[in-house]
Amino acid sequence: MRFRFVFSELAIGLRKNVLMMFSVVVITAFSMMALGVALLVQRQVGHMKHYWYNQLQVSVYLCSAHSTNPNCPTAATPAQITDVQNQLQALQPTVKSIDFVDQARAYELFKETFKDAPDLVKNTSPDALPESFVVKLQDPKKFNVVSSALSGKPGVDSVQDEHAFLNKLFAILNQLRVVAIVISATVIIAAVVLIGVAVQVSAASRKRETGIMRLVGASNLYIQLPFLLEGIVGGLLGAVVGFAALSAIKVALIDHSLRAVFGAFGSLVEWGDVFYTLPFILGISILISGLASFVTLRMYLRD
Amino acid sequence: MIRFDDVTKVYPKQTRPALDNVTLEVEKGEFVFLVGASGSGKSTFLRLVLKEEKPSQGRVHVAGKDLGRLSSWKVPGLRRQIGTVFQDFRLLPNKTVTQNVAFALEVIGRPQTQIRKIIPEVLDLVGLADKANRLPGELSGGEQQRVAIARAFANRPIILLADEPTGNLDPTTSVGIMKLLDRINRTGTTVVMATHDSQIVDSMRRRVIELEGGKMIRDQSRGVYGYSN
Repeated sequence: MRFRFVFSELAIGLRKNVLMMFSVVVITAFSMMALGVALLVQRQVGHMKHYWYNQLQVSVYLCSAHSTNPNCPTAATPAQITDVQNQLQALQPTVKSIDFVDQARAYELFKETFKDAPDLVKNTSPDALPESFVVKLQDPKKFNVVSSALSGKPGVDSVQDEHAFLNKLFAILNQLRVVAIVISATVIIAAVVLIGVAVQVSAASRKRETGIMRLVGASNLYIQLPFLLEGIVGGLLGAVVGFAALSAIKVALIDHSLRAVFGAFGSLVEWGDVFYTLPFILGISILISGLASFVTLRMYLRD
Repeated sequence: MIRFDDVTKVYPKQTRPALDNVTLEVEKGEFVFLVGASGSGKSTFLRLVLKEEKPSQGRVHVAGKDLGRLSSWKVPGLRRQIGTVFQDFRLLPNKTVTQNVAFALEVIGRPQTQIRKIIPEVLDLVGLADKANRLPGELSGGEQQRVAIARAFANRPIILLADEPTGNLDPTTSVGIMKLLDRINRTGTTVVMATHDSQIVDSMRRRVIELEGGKMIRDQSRGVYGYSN
């Protein structure tokens, strides 16, 4: 196998078909970017689940001076607070632990949670935050036990289980993931067809050369290999561009915008997650471009 | 070297067979003219030898191998042993003489060291050593055909097939080409040449096989183009 010959034929082909290569790269890049988004969303959900299901906590928010709930005419009185605490203790062992968070600590936690959003922190004063009981459950599904026992009780503003909110969030994220996968699959099909056409055009433009090659007895592999490699080069370049686009999304969207708002809900996807997508993107692009080229060439350059 | 056993070839959607029950044998080292009108089956004959077509009936043997039993991945190997020359030369217009001949060798995996040695030898044989770096567009028809012959012969094939090699050349140039083919034949290469050129055939007096409507109507050992008298 003379590599120099194969690569010189490959170079000729790439030069001759620049425009087709360009469209192959763009379409493959887009499909790989969509695939990367789907994978990132999957990782995001994984992060959040990991972070939050470990918390297993329910927050019982007590009335504060700013509560809008009609159940809260005034801030919770010490008597009401003790009452709620007794209620919670009565719910053991479903309730694993009870932790009282006073305003000072609430403010510290708030500052910690929204450390990436300094404006928000600046505009919130400590006494704007309600006090709460943070309750850890043995079984997070038993949220209803706490809710039914304490909702509407005097001094109780609301009983919040982040899990309900998170499940809604996960549902949305999963829908996003499905959409990204559907988009990716559709564009991958387009990419496969386009690569097949590009390879065919390339082979057709070199009919003289391939004709002579067949005549003098070059093996089919040797004849097809430069065109096959053309297809794969296009797919690989598309993968690289797609990955670069994905990284740009990570920086522009996640780092600059989303982290400030959603940083509270556990870690957002990091570079490690972005690089997790790389083997998939590379592998799938090589696979589809290789297969598309190979099948097209076998059909087209057949004896 | 080449043996046709009762070979018939009918192309799809044609009623008349391109070759009709042809049986013949060409020995090693022979020089054979294949004559006949257009459509008589000469090109079909050559295509069958190269296994570019399969016979509808009968068997084709080349160099002792039954082509019908030859698996398709072995066909390139067969073709490496057969050199071909065509009426339209079939050179690559953007490659020099040297590059054109080298192409045929590179494409079958010959190493550069061998190629560098073979090309001067074979260009010398065809008389184009001083035009090694010219492009086909800068050469005359006869010179282009010599390049094609150099390319066909570079791999020292056992058979040389020529399909109307002098078809685009004037009579004087044609003689030069025939002298070259004769010289190649003398090295032991079996030559089968399809042609319309009655002058050449008459002047060389070699074995003549005449086809008409796909049938072999004449096989003469020292024949002329038309029926001799």
